[in-house]
Amino acid sequence: MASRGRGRGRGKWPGGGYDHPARHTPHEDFPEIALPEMTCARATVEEKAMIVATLKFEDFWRNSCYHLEEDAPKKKNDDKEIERYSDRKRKTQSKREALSSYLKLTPANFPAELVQGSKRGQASNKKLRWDRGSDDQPFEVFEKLEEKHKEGDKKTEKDGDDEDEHEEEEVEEAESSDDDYNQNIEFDDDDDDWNQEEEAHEDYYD
Amino acid sequence: MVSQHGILLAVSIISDHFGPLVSKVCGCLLRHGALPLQEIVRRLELSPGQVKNSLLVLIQHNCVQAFNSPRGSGDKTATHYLANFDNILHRQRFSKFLSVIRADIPESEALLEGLLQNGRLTFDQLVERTISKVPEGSITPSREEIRMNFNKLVFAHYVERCPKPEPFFDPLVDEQSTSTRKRAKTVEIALSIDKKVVNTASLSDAERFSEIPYIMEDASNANDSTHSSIAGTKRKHNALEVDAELNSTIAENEVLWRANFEKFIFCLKKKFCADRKKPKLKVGTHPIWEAFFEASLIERDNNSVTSPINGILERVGQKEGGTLMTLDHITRVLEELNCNPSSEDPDSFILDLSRIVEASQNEEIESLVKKKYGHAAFTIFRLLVRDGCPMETDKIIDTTILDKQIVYGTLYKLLKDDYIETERILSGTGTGNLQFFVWRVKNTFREQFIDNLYHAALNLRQMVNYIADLLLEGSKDDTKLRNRKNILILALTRHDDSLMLFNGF
Repeated sequence: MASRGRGRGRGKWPGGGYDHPARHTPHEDFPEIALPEMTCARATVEEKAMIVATLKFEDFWRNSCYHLEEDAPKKKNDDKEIERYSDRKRKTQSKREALSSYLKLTPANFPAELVQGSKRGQASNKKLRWDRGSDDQPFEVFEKLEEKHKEGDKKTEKDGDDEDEHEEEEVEEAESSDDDYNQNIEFDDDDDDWNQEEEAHEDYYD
Repeated sequence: MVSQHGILLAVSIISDHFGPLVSKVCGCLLRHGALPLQEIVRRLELSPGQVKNSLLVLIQHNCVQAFNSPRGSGDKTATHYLANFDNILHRQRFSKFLSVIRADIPESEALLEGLLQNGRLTFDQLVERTISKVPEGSITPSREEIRMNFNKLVFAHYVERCPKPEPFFDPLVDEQSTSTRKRAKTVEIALSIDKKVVNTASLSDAERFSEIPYIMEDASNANDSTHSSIAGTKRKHNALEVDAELNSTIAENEVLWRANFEKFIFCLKKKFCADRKKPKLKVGTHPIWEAFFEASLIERDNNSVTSPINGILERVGQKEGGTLMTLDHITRVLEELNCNPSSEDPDSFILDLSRIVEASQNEEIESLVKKKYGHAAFTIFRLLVRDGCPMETDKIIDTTILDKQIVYGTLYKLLKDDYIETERILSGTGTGNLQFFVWRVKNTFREQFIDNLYHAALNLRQMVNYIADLLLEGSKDDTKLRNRKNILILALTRHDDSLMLFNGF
């Protein structure tokens, strides 16, 4: 069969057209790609503080009463049913506080149709959490601290002088927490396994 | 109207912070404009309870403004809900707002943090929060101290009283006044309705920034001072005291306060303009430029910076080499830097920031064109931007002194990517049918550029979330993943500066 240049002798196709049939490949959201070398300026002390603050905000909202669950409200009393694994998992997740504990649900503050029928004024002696405390998971904290010590020796050499000088000013909270926002913001510039080979500069917004 | 990726970015932010349910409601409002409750329920097929809770969260966090609007004919009105795109985007800059306060009023940083985290709070709630966060063994600040730190924020306009929850607004009333314009662009009207609703809901400046009054808590003091006065005035004095006490109570217990995003954005704008111009300054002018910004007073508008000459002189004197500078020299330098004497107060200088912002916007786009398409493209694009009117191909070739083939190739590339547009003009004069092309910059290229910026921010956010998920699942490369995440967040923080720039701050 005469192939038209590109074909590899696939035989007789009735349409006589295409040489590359469509292949279904699984969709990859984040395929691995080699990124250009990071030549932009390192994070300043101020920027590091901003990153810590950002992580703290995001963490707060994720655990706050403002983050609404999509699930249907609690099921009825189902003692007779066998306890499922998902039920057990749900119990261990920390309970969110009620939205009405923090919102002042009066017509002076919100549209009337949204506050009609809502419970006004929760029992005012209920102590609110305000911010998820750091004393929830002490053991994980210790694990993280140990890890930090191991990595810490390597990192302090690389990250150099500026961080040491400003360490005291930078640290907002002395309390240790297992959350992201309390880890040292260190940029592994020298040991970046993303930059495998040198490539031409990609576009980036200055 | 917000661009496609702008909406996706806003929805992504709300989804990360408040969950998918709230983001659905928010997305619906962003896409369809202001809607009443039943309409949202109908479109999203959610229960009224879910939609109500979502709206409560969005209003609490200043992402939605409600207003009362006439419905149909007659006296019926319905509450409509309008999403505030700018405020949603501000949520990714809260850390920048905190850094502004850290530099200006560090003792009030914790109070601002509380307001940013919770959207709106009464002063009482802030006090409760402050006390609950005091570590064991530390001294609890007094209520008076907290009030003082809070009033500092109000005085500097960083914090304001919340707007009206449900003001009346009739869009038709405004449209009638503009109906004489036949070719009214709907896009412009839609934009202005959003702004009009926000303006209608806002309190007056005096009320917005009215501090929490300080009342003498010791009643006996008040009695002593009125011993010598006549009975009538004593009664009047007591009545005034009661009023003042009532005002104070209301201000502390009932009034909701929130961060004033406008002020923070303006501070960031000033900082951006100050830093942007620094590399281009002549030697020896840096101290004067810095002193000008440091001496600025409370601004009248969001487009200019005003500084009194005395303040500038004082600060220049504190800087290196500043003491040797004469008033004449400083005044001359200020005028060279476009800081002109104010017409209202000859002892003050005003700098118009919008020129710096616009110039920076052009520089950014030109820089991108240069990186993406090369120097030739940069030259051509700049020529078209500066000229403003359509230009013939030959004229472009002559002006830029570039090779014809390069010009053709570059114009085609820019055309394909929607930076420029072309028109074919037929010239039927003479014997032949001459046709030539004219080129001009597309007037929507800025919108496209902004849309690309939103798209980039969205991609960065998705990448950060992806790594966060990987971290939750747990892996051996925890530290490496965290480093990557931090790099991406840093990239997003810096990229956000471009977002602010192209939204004109």
